[in-house]
Amino acid sequence: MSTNVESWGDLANTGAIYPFPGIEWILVLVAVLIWLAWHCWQIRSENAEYDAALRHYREVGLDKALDHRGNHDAMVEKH
Amino acid sequence: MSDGLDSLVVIFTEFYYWVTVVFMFLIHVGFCVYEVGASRRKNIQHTLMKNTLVIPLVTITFFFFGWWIYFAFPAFPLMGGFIDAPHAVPWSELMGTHMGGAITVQTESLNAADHGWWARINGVFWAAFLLFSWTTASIISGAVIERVKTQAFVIIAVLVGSCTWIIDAAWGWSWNGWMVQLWGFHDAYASSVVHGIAGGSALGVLCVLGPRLGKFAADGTPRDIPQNNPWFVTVGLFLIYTGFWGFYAACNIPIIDFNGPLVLANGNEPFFTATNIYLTPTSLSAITFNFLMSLSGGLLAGYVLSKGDAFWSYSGGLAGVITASAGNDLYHPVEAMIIAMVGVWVAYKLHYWVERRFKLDDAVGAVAVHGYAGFFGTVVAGFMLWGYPSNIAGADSLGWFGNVDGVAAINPLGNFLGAVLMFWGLGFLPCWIVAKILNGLGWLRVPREVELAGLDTHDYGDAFPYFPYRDTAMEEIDRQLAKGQG
Repeated sequence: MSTNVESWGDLANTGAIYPFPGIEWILVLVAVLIWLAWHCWQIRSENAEYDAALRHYREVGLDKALDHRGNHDAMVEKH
Repeated sequence: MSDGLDSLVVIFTEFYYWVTVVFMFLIHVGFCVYEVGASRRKNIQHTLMKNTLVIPLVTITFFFFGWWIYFAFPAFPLMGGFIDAPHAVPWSELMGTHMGGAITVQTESLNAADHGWWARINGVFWAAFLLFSWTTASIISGAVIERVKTQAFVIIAVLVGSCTWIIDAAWGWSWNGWMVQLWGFHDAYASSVVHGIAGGSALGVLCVLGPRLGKFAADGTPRDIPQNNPWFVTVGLFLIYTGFWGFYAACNIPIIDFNGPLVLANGNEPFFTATNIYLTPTSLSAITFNFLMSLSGGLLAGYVLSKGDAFWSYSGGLAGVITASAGNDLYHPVEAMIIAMVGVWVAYKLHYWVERRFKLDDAVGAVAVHGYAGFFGTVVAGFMLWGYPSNIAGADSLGWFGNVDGVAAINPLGNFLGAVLMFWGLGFLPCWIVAKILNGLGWLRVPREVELAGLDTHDYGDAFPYFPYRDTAMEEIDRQLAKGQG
């Protein structure tokens, strides 16, 4: 059984009713790891995004990028 | 929960906080709408997503450690060590679905009755505080728009939303906090506890982040960067006003027997009332009077100061409430109105003085509306409420700056020190240090070219693809900056 609840007949003496009580430490540890991993992914992703944008702008010239509101497709088509 | 009256009190309290949380959600909706309106078209989606990420990141970290901080830190460091808070650690059974029985974590600080209480209240009370956390982090978001990297902002949001503000709440916004017990600190609706620290935090980040490109001319003259949608800005502020009702309600304990064991325990006949977070009496009626009168005072002052500018009139309403909030549990409504008007004058004048003097680019006036108004309001409350008992459970002669009825008296020095500690000590300093570190890592500010071209357009695409662009003076300034001029 995933839970210690087998009846709703004695609520006054019922405690935790979520599945798998007793593994809270593991759940919290997993959640903390997910949180930290998310930050790592987000930092890499955002910095890579700016690096790609910079390469485009340096390729076509920043003035052109401003003319086309930084839009890659428009810059590639016209330049 | 088998006793009828006790059960009714607990379940009413549970439902009460749940409703406040729903209302307070509108604060975050408002901040998002407001910031989207205030940013330029090239930065809209970045601005929106940056602030949206406050919700998941501050929520999970407030679950991990923010909630525990509130209960563990009240005495630390001046009145003792950490307090045992077994219901608030993330691995506690009481941080999940629980019926209150079958005690498995009984400790000295958590008996059977506590189990029954926290099983029902823990989630909604946690969420009420969590929504304050979102607000605190979100206030910083507006100040730094159009040039901050999302990665830096969300780290700062976690720092403020799940660490520093909740430390100040433990110290100065709980009945047993050492600032309350020793200094007589009083800030019932969080002028400094939420707004002062958020304003100070924003200021710390801004000092490192620097102004938006083009904000200041070569001779240092500040330029007005046009908002993409002033109507959105005002709707956003309206939504924040609406959510603020929930914020005020959430700062109260809705029903408690004031003579009973949880408060005075004096053996007198039961006297049921609402209290503030310090367990001293107030009522929903009182704070409704004062919320609306301070909002009105702030709107009137903002309108006069800005000569009818919508942004500053609405911001004045918000700053008015924030100024009066420290004492809005006790003020007369007209006192609240006048204090709000003076606070808006202080915030408005300081905003432009700091902008000119220090070349500080606070894009939405967050430091002024929240920081200066909150600081000022906290100091004013120290004078206005001088001599009231600050709490209900202090030891005789414990207060450093005067006692009354056996507890520390509210006083000007205690509130001034509290405002300084929250704005500068827990707000400005940690954020300035962390911003310095993030800047050193290259994580704080987007590259110059990206800022000029826009934080959206290289990746997100245009926020309004069916509408043609119309240049303002700022686009020409951007072109000059791109050529190394301007």
